[in-house]
Amino acid sequence: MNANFRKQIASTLEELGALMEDCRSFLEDADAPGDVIFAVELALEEMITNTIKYGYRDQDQHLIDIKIHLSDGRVDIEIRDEGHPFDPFSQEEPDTSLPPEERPIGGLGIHLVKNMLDDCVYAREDGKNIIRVAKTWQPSENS
Amino acid sequence: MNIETLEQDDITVLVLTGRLDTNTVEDLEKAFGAAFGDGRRKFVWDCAGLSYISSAGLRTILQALKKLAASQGKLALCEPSPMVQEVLEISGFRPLLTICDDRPGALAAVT
Repeated sequence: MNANFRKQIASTLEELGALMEDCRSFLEDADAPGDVIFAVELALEEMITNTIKYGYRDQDQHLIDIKIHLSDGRVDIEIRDEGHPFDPFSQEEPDTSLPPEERPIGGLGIHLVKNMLDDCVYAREDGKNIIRVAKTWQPSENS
Repeated sequence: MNIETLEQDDITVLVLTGRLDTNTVEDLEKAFGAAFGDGRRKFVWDCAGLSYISSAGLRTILQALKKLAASQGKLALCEPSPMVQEVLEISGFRPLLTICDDRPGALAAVT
């Protein structure tokens, strides 16, 4: 089984919300497992929220390209943005052992994506940030 | 996200249904903030209907925990789904939280 999803959105949280709904429908229609859909949504939300909030040095709206490729037991996600160079996967890990009152708010999103998805890779190509993440699973025999 | 607020004696139960993400955390902040502002200090968040949580939702939990810790308040969660539990686990939130199998258990935990 192979299926592709592609969408370009403006850098706003409203468009991110609509993207996540479209993406969920796409994965549900393709019978992807629930925990895989959860992980894909998490990757999209965490990565794109970061870009929208911190990725740009001006107040303009920018475009973000999202590609999802689904095959047997694997989904690949690619997010391209034109923000300033930022490698989310080389940032320092948050200290998740601190008591709550000492925890800085933030930094958790990237930590979740790195731990709940596979093959998290960052590249800078043609003046764009490219984030690639994947999620693999054991397909059931009757699917 | 839909949030129902129930009051059982001095305990406030927030029944969370739907998705706790960047675009919906405000609903929970408002519901919790309103009850906290009324002087309520014992909370149960019923997560049986919570289908999704991201770091935005975790931040809301953390803010509520900080407020309650500073005012001798209590919070217990009940029935989070396996995926929601995994997010709580990976983020290191699990040891900070009281998580119960069902609502009666959570009510007893904050009494």
